[in-house]
Amino acid sequence: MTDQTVASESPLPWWIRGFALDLRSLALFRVSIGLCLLVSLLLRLPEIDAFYSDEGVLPREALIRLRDPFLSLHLISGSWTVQMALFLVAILFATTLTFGYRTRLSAVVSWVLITSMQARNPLVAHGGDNVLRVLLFWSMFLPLDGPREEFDRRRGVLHLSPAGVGLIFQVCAVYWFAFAEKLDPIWLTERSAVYYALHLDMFATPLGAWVRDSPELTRLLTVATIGLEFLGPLLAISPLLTSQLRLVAVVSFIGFHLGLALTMRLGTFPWICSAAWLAFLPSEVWRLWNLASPSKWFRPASSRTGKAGSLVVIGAILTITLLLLAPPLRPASPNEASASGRLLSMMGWTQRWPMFAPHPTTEDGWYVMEGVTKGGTRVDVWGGGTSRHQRPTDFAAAYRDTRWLGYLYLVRSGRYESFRNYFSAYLCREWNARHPDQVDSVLIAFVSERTPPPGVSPPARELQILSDQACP
Amino acid sequence: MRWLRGLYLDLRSVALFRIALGLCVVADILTRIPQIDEFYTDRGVMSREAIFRTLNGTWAISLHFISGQWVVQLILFFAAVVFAVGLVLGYRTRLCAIASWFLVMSVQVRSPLVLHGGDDLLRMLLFWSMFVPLNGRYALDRMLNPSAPQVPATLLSPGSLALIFQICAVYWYTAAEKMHPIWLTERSAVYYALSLDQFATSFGKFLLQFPELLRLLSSSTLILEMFGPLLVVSPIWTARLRLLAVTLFLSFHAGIGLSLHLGLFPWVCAAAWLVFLPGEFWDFLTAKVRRRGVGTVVFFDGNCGFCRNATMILRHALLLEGVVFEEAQSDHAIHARMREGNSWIVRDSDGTLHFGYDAFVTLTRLSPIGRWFAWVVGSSAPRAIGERVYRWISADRNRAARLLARITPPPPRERFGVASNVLALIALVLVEAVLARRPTIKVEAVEETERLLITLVQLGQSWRMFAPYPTLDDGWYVMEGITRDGRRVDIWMGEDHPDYDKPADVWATYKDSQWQKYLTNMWQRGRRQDRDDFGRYLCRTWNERHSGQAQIDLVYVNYMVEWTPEPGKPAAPATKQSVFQYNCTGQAASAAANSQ
Repeated sequence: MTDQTVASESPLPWWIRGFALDLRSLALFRVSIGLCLLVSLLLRLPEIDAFYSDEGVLPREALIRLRDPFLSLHLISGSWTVQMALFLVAILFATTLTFGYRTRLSAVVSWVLITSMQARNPLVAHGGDNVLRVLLFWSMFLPLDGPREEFDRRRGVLHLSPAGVGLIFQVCAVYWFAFAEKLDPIWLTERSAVYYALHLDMFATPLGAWVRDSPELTRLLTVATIGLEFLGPLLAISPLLTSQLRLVAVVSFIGFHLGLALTMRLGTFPWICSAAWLAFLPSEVWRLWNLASPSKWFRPASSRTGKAGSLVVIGAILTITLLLLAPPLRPASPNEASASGRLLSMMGWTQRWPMFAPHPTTEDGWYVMEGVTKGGTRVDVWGGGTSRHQRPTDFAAAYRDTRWLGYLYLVRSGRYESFRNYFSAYLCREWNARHPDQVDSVLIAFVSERTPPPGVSPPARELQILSDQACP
Repeated sequence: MRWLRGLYLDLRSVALFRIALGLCVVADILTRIPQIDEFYTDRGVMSREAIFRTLNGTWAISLHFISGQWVVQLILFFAAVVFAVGLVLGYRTRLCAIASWFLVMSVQVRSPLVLHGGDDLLRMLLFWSMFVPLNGRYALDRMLNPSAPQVPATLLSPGSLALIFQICAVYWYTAAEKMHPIWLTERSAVYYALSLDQFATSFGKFLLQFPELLRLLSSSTLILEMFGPLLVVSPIWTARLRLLAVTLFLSFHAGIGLSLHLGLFPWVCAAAWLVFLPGEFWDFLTAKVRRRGVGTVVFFDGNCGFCRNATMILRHALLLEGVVFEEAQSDHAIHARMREGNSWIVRDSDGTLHFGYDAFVTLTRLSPIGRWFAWVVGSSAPRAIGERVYRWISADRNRAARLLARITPPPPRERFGVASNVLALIALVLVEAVLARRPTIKVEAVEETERLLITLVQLGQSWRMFAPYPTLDDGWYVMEGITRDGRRVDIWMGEDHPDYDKPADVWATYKDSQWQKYLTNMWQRGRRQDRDDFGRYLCRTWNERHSGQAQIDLVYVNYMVEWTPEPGKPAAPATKQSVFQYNCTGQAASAAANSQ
């Protein structure tokens, strides 16, 4: 892909200014994305057995029944050892990406391995993983090394290229797609969405639990969220007052995601989104701190600004086409996707951002996973100890982490019903490997708790038996 | 040391082996490409789901698992061809050897039901190739690095020992399995083998008329398998005995290839034997080549590093012997002519001077391989192109030098590192354990690791070619489909009415050696999942080509078993056995009514 970096103080045509990125911001973006990637990989290491091996909750034979057009290098073997080796390679390249060593190669390998890893187990992927994957896609084509003095004395510190435009549109698209999915009365007129979201104890933090009791505040936050998702990205590409408005966008989005992180347990999602916004930091921020003072690198504007315009147009057309061709918001079925849709899906290019949309689920609850031992005692094969049915005091511990939460959330739905037997077999294996008192069968049930509309008293809890199977 | 002479390999033979092995891989992959749909996609007869179930818990790796789509498989096969061509040319040889082994192993792990002995041998030869310097001679790695130090002519290393052991083991272990009266006393084994109509060629059937010859062939096969491999490791008369062994085994495999349809197997075996060609064989050829080259002198511009390099590359590439290479500056008259013509100069044995492209044509005529192409190189169209290329190069030597530098691979290495030799030794120990069918150390943890390592790099092998005796049951498939309007059709041969009479050419009903292996596996040990895949495949392929009432709903797969009678006795008629039936609509459970 051609790229071009132009002097930032040159009078770029007004409509182009919003599509340039500062090389130093891109370098900061690289470091933070690399760190997110590293954390995301390291957190999974103890769970390779459960999520990525044939011994786990989703063996390869089950996965390939799930969806057709996808590619995953992680399918080459079902053994823990080979998966571990792949993870270690991914960690190595995430580290070199963070440090900016052989950056392009590291970005390409990281993208391949993270796309492959996510395709290997789509049940544990959450919004943050999807954002990370598409950010890495654009990273492969971007200069993430930061400015080099002798080079950029000629070329300036502002980067303008189709890939840069792609990254900008991609970040904007995440919010606009999310906004489009939220066109529902609960977000627009009732404004109770944040109330419902925060009432999900599987997500809510103590602060979130405190916030949800204030009806005025939740209504305000609902409006603020949907407003920011629509208008915020516009600020980032504004042709007028570009630097100032971008700074506003970066600060408000990072603030928004910090707020999410404080009120809900969403794993790496808020951090990855914040990392994305760091790429938008305007040059003025760097000048403020007088970091690597760029003034000496600037050179007067040249006739190349005309070419800069065509770069932006090419990038915009390309990116919008890709975004629109990508498997749609609500695919009827993966097999009905068009050829281009299938190809993009193979490359991990599905673009769907239904975050608490159109309506946050009102079904909260917790799992009961009860094993019956050979001696007849009932044990909690999930949390250890004797079986318990009462409401957990600590939902964070009850769901372990966001990956298990994602898995448990999905395996409850009818679509994944046939996968429950792998789950119960996994629970048997896990328990029996660690305890002398072996279990014979495992019952998996969900205690469902519906969030009532504001001001209404909660309905009765409901016990759903998901699976009751003998150990293999 | 004298008594170790039988363990050395000549690097020129290793290079020839490399070329032959690379060609075998190319042929292997090219025969598989038309079969991607049936054998390598999820729609075919071996879905990944079925394979994953059997591999559960092992360390087996296959890159072909990454997708069940036709196009992805095609790309992987294409990559395998590229690396195999690199192996043939000896370009970045080590990388190509490793990649070829990995990709061939991947193909084989993906398609376990179509593998035969030739596949095992090909994979193992590629495996040991990774530990042997394949590019010491006749390789682009060598030719493009003319100034790199010459590698010693003979080779003794853990890798080469393992390669020798592997090739000998194939014959010894199969001979050890053949300790059965049919081979030893009755000597009817070749008769039974050639009576298998699913393998026999018309030549093989023709041989059945000579019972005495068949008995002779039985005993000579067994003797050759037992004692032939000993000839190549003999410490005395090494060269002569090796030449004898290579000749014997090449003709043995040629004979097998002519009388039985065994796919690539004879070719892979023949490639393996080339590695034992003695140095004397090459010395003899070289002496002949040298006689032609003597008297010819090549003059190049001594002040131009690129010119020196390019001439040396040519010397290696054309395998020139006896030709003298000199700097033009050493001879005033020649130097003057060179400056005048702005060209290198070849002076042939008559004293005639050749310039530019013409000089190249002259050298080509002296080359042992190039001479076969000299008439092409010297004809008008290539000459016009060649002269243009020569002018392009001589006009801007710097540009040509940069281009050359860019494509120059790292020079061949004299010997491999300790790590690589240690790996080869470990693998050798594991292979010995596989062949002896016992663990190396009887400790549970070690045994388990060993088992996992063996599947990781696929060292598993068993050499039971027609052992302990050739199978006595032969047969062919008849696959019947029932159309919507109730007609019976032969869905395998695509004929209207299923015909249970013995076909004129039984082999042809199996289509090729991959299908032959698949269908034999289906008959002998087809599992429920495999039958479902096969049934689904049969329904799909028929129904895609037919429409409306001509589509089929039900499939009956039958096998016509025919037992080979004892020599001289009449054959009993074939009997029909049901292998399975399959319901195309998938509504009712696919009943597996097996009469076995």
